[in-house]
Amino acid sequence: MKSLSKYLILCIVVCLAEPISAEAQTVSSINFQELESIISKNESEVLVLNFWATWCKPCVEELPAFETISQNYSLIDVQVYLISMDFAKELNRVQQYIEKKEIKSKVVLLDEPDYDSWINKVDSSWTGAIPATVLISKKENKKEFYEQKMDIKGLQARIENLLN
Amino acid sequence: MNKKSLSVLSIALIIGLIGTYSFKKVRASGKAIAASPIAMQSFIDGYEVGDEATDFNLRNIDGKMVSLSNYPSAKGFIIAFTCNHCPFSKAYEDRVIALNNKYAPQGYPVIAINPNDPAAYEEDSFENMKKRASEKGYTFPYLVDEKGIGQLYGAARTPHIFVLKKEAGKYIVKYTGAIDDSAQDPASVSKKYVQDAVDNLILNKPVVTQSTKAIGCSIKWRGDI
Repeated sequence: MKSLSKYLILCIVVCLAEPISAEAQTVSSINFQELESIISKNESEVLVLNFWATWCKPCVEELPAFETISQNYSLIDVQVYLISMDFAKELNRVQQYIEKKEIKSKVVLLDEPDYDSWINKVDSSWTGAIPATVLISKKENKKEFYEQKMDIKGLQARIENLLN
Repeated sequence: MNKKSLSVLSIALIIGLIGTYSFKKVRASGKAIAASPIAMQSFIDGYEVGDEATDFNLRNIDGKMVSLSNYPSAKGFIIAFTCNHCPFSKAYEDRVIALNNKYAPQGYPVIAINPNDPAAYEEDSFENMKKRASEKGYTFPYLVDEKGIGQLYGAARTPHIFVLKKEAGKYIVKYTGAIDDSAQDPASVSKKYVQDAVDNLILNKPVVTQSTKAIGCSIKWRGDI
């Protein structure tokens, strides 16, 4: 009986703790049309789209830079979207990854397997290699594209430039 | 042809080769600066359809050197820049084997080239290339790119295919891009880009879709070249 009450207490503690760890966002799968609507409905001064994948070494190495940007700017100024190019069947793996790494930036999985049909619409100079990053400035209607690994210094400088 | 004119010809050829190479490099860096305020953009300006592709001499997993000129009876080639570690390369392994099985007998063998730096990806080391090729039963060469051939061709990611056709002793690029339109699921393929291109070349017809793009793994070029 004593052990049962112990178990009950443990249960209550775990249940109470649950909402705290449940803060992690749920990654949803979107198609290209939905990505286009994210872009067209954007309200932030600068929209940052980073194309990445959990298995992509340079991508995960640059994620902290994007996280820093998300934390340092208000949504009025900057909105970051981490767009996972993991295969659609790996959605769960992406979910686990962002929970483990406590990723706060918005994460979506782009499930649009006919790559040739949309890569040029993101940017005509994109070869399709990841990581790749797009910065879209609402005010000036300007777009910058980088097919490379970004560091926080470079990323911040570009965002500051677009904000001012 | 006498000895003197032969040596003049070879000197001219060497100068020509160096010229082409440095010209490409200048073009590539010029474009990178124009396209990006941040230096060192990884954009590479390689071959386009219609360009003449260079032959190479690269080490195969069996230790032997392989060149396109080793295939005098080939009508062309399916050059696949690919590697071990990349999920897209893995997803296409069986389809690359199928391409070689189908087209090598028709004069278009597959030549696979791994352009990645094994220092960055242990899975792409020479030993692991040998291992993967034997596990999968590769029936085609799987070469180590120790000479920057991937940069010269403009391989932008893995996998990245270049279909070449031999025309008057030259290797002309006829298609560049993805294998098909469904990396994730072979059962959902609706456009077989490489297959359609090679089928047309075999029939001496023009290639309809000459280049495509696909999501792929960026290439970590070797630091030792």
